Amino acid sequence: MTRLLLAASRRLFALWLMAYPPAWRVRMAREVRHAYADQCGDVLRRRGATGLVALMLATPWHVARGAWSEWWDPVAPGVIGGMGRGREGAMRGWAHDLRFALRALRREPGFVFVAVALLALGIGSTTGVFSAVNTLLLRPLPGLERPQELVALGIRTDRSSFSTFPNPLYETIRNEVESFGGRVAASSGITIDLRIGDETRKARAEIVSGNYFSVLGAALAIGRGFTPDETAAPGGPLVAVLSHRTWLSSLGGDAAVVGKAISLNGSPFTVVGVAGPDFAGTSFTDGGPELWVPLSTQPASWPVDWSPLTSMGDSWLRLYARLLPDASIERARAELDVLAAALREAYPEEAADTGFEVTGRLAVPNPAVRARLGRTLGMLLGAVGLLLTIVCANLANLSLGRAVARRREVGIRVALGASRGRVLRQLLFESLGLSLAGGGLGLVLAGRVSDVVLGLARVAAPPPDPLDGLVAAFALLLAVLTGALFGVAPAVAGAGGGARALLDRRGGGGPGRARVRRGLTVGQVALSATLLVVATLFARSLRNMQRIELGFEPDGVLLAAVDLGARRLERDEGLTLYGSLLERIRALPRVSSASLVLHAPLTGALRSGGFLVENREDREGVGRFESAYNQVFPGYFSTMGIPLLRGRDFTSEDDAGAPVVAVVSASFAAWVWPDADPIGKRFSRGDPDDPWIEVVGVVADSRFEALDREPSPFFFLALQQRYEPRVRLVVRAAGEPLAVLPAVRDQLRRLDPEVPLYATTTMRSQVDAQTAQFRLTAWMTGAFSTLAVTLAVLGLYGLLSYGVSQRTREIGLRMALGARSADVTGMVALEGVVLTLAGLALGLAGAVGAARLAHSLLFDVEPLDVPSFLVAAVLLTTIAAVASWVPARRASRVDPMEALRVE
Amino acid sequence: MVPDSRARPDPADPERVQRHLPVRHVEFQILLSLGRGPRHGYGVIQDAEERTGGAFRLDVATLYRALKRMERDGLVAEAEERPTGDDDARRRYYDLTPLGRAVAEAEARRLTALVRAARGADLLDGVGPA
Repeated sequence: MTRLLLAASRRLFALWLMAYPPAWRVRMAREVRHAYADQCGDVLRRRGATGLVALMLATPWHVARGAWSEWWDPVAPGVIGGMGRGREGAMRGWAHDLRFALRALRREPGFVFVAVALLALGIGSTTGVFSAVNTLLLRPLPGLERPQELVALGIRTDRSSFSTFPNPLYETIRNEVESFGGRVAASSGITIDLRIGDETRKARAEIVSGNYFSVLGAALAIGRGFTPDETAAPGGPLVAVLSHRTWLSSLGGDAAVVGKAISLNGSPFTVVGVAGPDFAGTSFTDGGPELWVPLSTQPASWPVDWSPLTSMGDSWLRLYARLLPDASIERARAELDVLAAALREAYPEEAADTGFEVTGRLAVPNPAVRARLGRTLGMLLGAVGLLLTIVCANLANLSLGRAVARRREVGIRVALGASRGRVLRQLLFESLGLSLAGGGLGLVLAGRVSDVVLGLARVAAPPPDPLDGLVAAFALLLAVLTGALFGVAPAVAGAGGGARALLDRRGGGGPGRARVRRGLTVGQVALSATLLVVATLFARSLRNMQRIELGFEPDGVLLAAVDLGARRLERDEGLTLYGSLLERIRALPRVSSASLVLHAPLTGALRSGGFLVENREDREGVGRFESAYNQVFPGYFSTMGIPLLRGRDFTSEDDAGAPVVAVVSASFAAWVWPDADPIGKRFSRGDPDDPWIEVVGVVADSRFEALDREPSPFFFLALQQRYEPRVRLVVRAAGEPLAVLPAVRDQLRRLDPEVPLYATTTMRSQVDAQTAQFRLTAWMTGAFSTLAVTLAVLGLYGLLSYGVSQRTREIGLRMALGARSADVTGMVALEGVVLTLAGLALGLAGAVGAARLAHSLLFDVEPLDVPSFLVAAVLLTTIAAVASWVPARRASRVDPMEALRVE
Repeated sequence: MVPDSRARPDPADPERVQRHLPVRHVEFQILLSLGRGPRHGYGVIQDAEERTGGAFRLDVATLYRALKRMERDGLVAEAEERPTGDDDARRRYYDLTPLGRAVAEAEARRLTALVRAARGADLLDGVGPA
């Protein structure tokens, strides 16, 4: 293994040395190669294979630097100052070749256009996907000092990864993990009622540890971050830091804002600072939080009916830590493993499978989202890489055709004394010129592609930087690589053979070159077949996802959160407000119905609990059951389009004074009362004081938790009988539901200007958010595979047409000797079919591997889904057959007399 | 500055030495390595790495470019004798020329003066004596 590596390093180095000017190579190459070999052996002994690989990777860079200066400023022996003739000579050659290449290209504008367009497409798509990867996964969070020292921590259980921490555990990690030296920060996103002047609105905020700004190294534009003193204990001073954006938009960039008070949830908070313009917090959603408050202000800033700061059972904090200069991520991981072991010992049941995770590089989405996105985007990058390879093969084929046409020109140059290397260089210049032009155009296209990918991914992120250096470098690298790749084949073919062979005017393709071209065509068909199968699998996944029976009608439904929490209304006042709000909204034009619900479907929020069934107390395991439930206002089912199967909906009479009633789902009824009519049956929460809840209606099953989760037994209680101050408004409207939002907002403001309406969205976009990943993969691979198949088939068509034009004489002779046109058609078409089938066989084999890799991204489709493979195979064969038939027809129309006269 | 190949220039000519100062870092490291006797190219890399405790790692492309430049400037020359015990014929050995040695010494003096100035400006408190 190591011997192989050593041999490889020497071979590669000999190749890299080709970059130096010939004069240098004659004098120095042997010596330098020996020294390099010594160094490789030494590095392998002392630093192992990884050291050697690192050296091998760095070598092209070293050589490029050295070779560059040798070309530009060769050290001529004996000439002090080094500005001798060597430089001029070498550079004049290069400049001449460059000019020559440009001139050659100018003579063929059609080829240049096609080549640049293809390259722009290939490089642009690849760079676009890479730019999305860069934006979502590689680029560090903005506004952090030395982000390379920062890590994110997460809890891993058997069900989830990178989940949040309870506060006591955060404090333990901060105090005990030595690799961080106490520099561990915590944060959690909350919404808060922000009142500036007379206006109250819901603001996104982060509740953070006192050391948050100092650990992250987030510079403040004005004022300061939180101090250890003011955040040491719960109930400390009420202080807040504003985001730069909020400071500008809501406070007009007031320079004297520090020390002023703003009202948060009705309490006065003192502004101590304004964050820097770049810093957008650590949980990026739609531009980041508007303000930060310390954990010590929790009772005032985030009033909830549990104890976030002391509860060990509730996880809600995301953790970020800064490694000490001498610490490593591995050491931190080892320390956390020890801590996790102690935790498992202390809580053998609750923490049985718990471990901690550490990851470097704080990027925009949180680590859990990143893991999911990473797989999807990695797959897309692979797909678009295949497309780029097809573009290269296609261009190599085109260039080969051109090289044949230019044999005479090249031959004359060789005969006149141009060296083989010189001709090669000139041809490479041509392809590099084309690929750089294509790359430049591709950068423009890349912006569009990355917009599409980011849009489909539906992850809020700061917009990609159009001048991102990494992305530009990536595009440049692709351009040079593709240029070299598709330039090499024709260059080798074009410069091969002697002057005599080149000058042979009849010298057509030659058997070797024809084999290369056929090989390239088969390769293109194979890669496009692989892509097509993968795209079909993703399309089927998306279709399965979209075909899911939701059990409700999402189109035309507006969702918005209403929060009476800060108004501190009595239950009756709250219900009255709800009632009048719904009355006003229902009276609006275009609104057909409106209602309220505690948790809207597909938001992930859920309530569940244990219940007892009346007259079943004796039956073990059946009488006692666990079920999820929701609380709704009358009219919820009709607004959502959930069919009522039996009984009745809630009415306004089902209020606090009336018997407690419930509407159950069909599967709930079938599960609890399999043999009886559920209407009129009763159940309770099990406490003697709890009233019996009577079933008055049965509705159809609907998906609630997540799109891909089968509906489970579920029931609904009346919001009027179990009041909640924080609910979702659901409004069904004709046309675009968001269009009625201003009117809805206006009605609420007239009713009570201090009640915030927020988190406005539509039920459709809530559903779409769940299919976003599938839409992204399906649409992008669909687009890439369409392009790939088009290119591959065009390549096939070009190859066959070229073959026909080359063989006009042969075909004419055959026909003169009695071959029928059907025979000729068959002969040409057969070649197309054979090439297609060969490519298809290879491509389907590749698709088996690709599908296995994509397995985790599929929904309800097996990786070896036979219909998908069949569809791809039939589709590709059909298109290829048409592409073969056209040149075959042309061949059959060859006039024998005409053809024989050509010679 | 016209080179005169017939009249051998005096290597100790201060003006001639001065023209080469300051010496680039890479070249100074090479001068230091060759100061202890002739070495082949890779020997320079090894010596520089050992001497600096791995802090200074040269790649061959940079080394040979610098060696070529120094050879042209007359600071190093291919050694006529090679150390005993190493009869590897393929290697080229390099040695300091008298000018190279004079330049190395002058550069060392220049650096010492700089360090002394830094100490005078209290920039090296707590760092051991030169």
